[in-house]
Amino acid sequence: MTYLLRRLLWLPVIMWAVASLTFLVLRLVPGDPFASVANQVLDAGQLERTRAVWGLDEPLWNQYGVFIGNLVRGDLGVSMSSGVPLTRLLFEKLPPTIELALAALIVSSFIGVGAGVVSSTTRNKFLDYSVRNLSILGLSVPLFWVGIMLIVVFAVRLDWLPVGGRIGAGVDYQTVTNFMLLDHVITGNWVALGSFLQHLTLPALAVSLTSAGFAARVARSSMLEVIRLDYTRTARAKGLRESVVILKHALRNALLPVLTLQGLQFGTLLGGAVITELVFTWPGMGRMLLDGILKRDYAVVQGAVIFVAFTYVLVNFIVDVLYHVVDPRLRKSS
Amino acid sequence: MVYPLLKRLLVVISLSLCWAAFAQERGGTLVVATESMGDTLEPGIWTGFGSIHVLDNVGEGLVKSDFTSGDPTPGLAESWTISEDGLTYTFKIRQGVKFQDGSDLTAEAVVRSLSRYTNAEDASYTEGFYMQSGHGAGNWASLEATDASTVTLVLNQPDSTQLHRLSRPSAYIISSAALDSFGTDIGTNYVSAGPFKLEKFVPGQEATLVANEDYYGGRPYLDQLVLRAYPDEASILAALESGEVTFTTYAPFTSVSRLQASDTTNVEVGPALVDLFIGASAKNAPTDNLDIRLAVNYAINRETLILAGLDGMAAMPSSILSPTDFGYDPAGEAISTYNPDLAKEHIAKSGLPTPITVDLAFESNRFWPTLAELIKADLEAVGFQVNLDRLDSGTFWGKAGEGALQLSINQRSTFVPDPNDKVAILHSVSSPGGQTWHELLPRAKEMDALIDAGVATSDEAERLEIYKQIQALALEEMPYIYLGYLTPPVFSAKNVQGIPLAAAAAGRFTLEGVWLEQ
Amino acid sequence: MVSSRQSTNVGTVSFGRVRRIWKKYDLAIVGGVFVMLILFCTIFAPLLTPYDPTVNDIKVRLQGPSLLHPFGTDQFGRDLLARVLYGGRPILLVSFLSVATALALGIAVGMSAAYWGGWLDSLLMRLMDVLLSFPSVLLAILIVAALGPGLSNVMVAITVSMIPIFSRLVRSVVVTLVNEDYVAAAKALGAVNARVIIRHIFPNMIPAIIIQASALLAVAIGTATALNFLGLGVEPPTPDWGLMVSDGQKLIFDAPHVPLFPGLVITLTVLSVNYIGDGLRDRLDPRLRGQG
Repeated sequence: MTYLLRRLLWLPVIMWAVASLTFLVLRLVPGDPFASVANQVLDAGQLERTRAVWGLDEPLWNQYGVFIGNLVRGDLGVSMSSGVPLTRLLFEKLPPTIELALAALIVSSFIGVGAGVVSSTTRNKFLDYSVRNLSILGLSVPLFWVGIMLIVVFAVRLDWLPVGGRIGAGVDYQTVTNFMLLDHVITGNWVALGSFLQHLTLPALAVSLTSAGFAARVARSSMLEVIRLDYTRTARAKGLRESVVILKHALRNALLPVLTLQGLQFGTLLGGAVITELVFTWPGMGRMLLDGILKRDYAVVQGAVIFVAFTYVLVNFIVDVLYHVVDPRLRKSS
Repeated sequence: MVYPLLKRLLVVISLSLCWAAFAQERGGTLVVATESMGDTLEPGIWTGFGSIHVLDNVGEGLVKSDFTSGDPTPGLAESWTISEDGLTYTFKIRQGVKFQDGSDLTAEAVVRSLSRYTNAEDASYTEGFYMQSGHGAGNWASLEATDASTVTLVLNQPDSTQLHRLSRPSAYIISSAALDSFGTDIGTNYVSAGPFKLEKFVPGQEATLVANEDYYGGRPYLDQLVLRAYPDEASILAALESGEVTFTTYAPFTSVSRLQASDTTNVEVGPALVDLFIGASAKNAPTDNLDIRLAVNYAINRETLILAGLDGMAAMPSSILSPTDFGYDPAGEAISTYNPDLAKEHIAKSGLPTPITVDLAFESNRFWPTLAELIKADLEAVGFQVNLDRLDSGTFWGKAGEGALQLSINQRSTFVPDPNDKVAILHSVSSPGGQTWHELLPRAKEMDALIDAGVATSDEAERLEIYKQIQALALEEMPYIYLGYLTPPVFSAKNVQGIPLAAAAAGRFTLEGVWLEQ
Repeated sequence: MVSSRQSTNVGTVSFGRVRRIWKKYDLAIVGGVFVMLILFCTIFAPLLTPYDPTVNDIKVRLQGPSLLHPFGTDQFGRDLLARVLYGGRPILLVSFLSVATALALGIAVGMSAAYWGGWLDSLLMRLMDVLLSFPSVLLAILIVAALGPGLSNVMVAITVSMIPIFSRLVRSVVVTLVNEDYVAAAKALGAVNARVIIRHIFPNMIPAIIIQASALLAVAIGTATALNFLGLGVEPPTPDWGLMVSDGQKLIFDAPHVPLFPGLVITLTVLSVNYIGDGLRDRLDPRLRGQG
């Protein structure tokens, strides 16, 4: 209990540290960050306000104070290149990235556990070998390349799935939370839900491959651990089909390490989502971040990095909590 | 007793047949891929071609420009008269036209819409509008609604391009009711009187338009028009291949020959109306030296450039105007000769020590990076040391505005089909700075005088002579080094009919005449 | 009595011994051979191909694989095989250097933290935690965004994202070992601190470090190619695998060999490194001994 409490108290501290580090790194930018930004879109007033938020003329400490003060109040400033408030951009772009990472999490867990089960229980050495090698292949293939391949094969050649975007062109839908799964269910819009899920499939698949590879390996070794242990014991104790019992027990045991791993993998998934979004025209943080870098729009870069990192920190925290709630035996001193 | 019934039946049947014949042309959704989409559709600022494409289909102005004939045609103004001295334009506003929100098109609405950019009192006004200079507002002495259906515009100086200017998106007429209710948010809730109305706008991403049932020109054939931004050519190509996108001008040129031969896609190659050039800044060394500019010109192998960078989708250039422009003079063709020895001579003449360091700036999308690489190779072969500066459009134009560029690659098509649109960028007073800082060139005043003369007169013979001189002067001072005339390919699914080719190639397409073969 | 299963000696080479080593390290050996091959090809690229990867030859552009050009040519007519051979240089240079640097710095940080303990330990480890709170790709992108594009900045970015992992690992190994009796005994005997470290602690770190380094090498290669793909690293016309895939994307239907070959090579390289890592881990990690 105290552990959890301590972790909870650390959470804002870590978030503060993440924001501060991002702040520091972006102040390393040589020259005036505003020098490169087109003044065409920002009018004089917006430019002044954005400059004030950045307070470049002030000493670093003052800038930092302003930055933290604004952050706490939820004001992240405006985009240097379009004048749009960061909070609005984040509302639009953060949920799609989270959706993608979560979907990849689920897909990779299924694939990983499935593969792990198959390779640990089969007597067919070849199958075991194949699955193991496929797992390694999965985590070796470059993400962007997989994306391109998937598009060519499934979207263009086979025409099974769409090429890109988050939802079909011209599909009517309402935005409530901007998490499409929730929104479409809430509004009962099944057409939109179907279109969204179709569009989610390939990108989620691409992002999931790396973690699926890891998950498969962990699932396999955890299951093997249990299977070997239990085989001798239960084979004699029960008259039932040991295989089923062993499998169930092994599976249950394997799930915990896999889920922990997946939680840790979420960071990789978020990073992977950022890259994959470009290939699939997924309108999330990846595109926003890269456009920001290309345009030297440091306000956008700052906001994007901080919030993706925040997401990661939060998810880690949740995973940690769940882990300790589910299996207090494995609590370790940190 | 049977006869009248039979007659009625016959009428019904023939009417249905007629309806059926046209019904196959009606309906459907066209999905258009664009290279960008603005965060707002506000016409007072430039937010990229994606926004222009949306505005061109939702909005309409007093005048429409015909890209095929090159003439201004009636839009929301059904007719106009111009005074003898060319200063007073009297427009007769079309009667019975409604904006897409149901409110009426009136002379008052026209005046308000055109004046809002400089009227700080208007509900939709934000500081920083500048696109109004495009439609000539800087030259307007007065703009009034002289009665409920007449608008009178008085100019300070005669401008033979004024009518065409009024076909620009910034001059489209916006509903007054919408300006009142949305104020500064009009950019995300644009309402005008064009063939399609804006149903949904996702900033930076896509716009969904639906047919305007009450369009005065008749309801367009399409039910729905979606304009969606794709981040790069590869995704546009994939979307085109899979049939998700059914119309675009932004697919990669490398696929043109294959798609022309395919049975699912059509590719039509547009006329040579887009200038591709390198802008050389007269403000910064080494490009302020004419010999350096000439060296760059002769160092470039344009044939290779067009083949390798544009997959043959361009013609050899000769001047600032292209073959489709009124007043084009092919006399300058020799300038496109590939002559690296001559280039080296000019470098020697310049007196600068080799290797001469120079920055080459370009936009990061489409074929610009490829062109930049090829140009770099050519320039370095004659004694330059080229630094590539890859920028996004906003940064590119920001740097151009500050005069921070040396060499930069860009394109210019006529926004409206009038040669002034292309040469106006060389005017030191109305269009200073930019890529070339041409106001610093020795004969800048001469150029200004010529450009002014070009719009002051509407006599064709006079204009021809003036533009001939402008082209010659531009070649002598060489603020722009011409790379080619782009012949933009227009990609569409096989069943898309009625595409306005010249307009699409120029990037100003209105799709009211497009229909889908079922 | 010699069983038929035992080895037969032929000179000093024993087949059985070779077979046993193979069985033990098969994955690692396959991976190792591949990596050696790739490194060889990359380093000796000028000797392996007559073509200059940066010289254009427009006449032969976009040709498929042929005798003259085994991998075909790209949109500028450059030989693709030459580009692939040279294209490994930026990636491999960055990856190896980053891992090596991160390792060195990680050891320094981890050992300092573990050895001195107290507030230095807390400070350093908290700093490492903060770095680890970023997804590593994101951290790398952030650093490159601030410092600007370029290969050296990519190297800095990847190094920084890996230091915390090494330092944590080193620290935990050292902390465990410092508690081991024999080290305590050594200290009790008055052995100088430095000697304690070098003699006793270092050798015990090596297996863990090797395993981690090989895993991170694969990640480094992946991140470096991704950053170059995004255009944040090398600039054209430098041949680079990631850049070649991104430039070749739009040719996937018209000239698929252009993006396919670099992608395959990246996959092969990362795969080989992963095989090495796996093979080493299977044998060096005490916890996994006895696993299949």
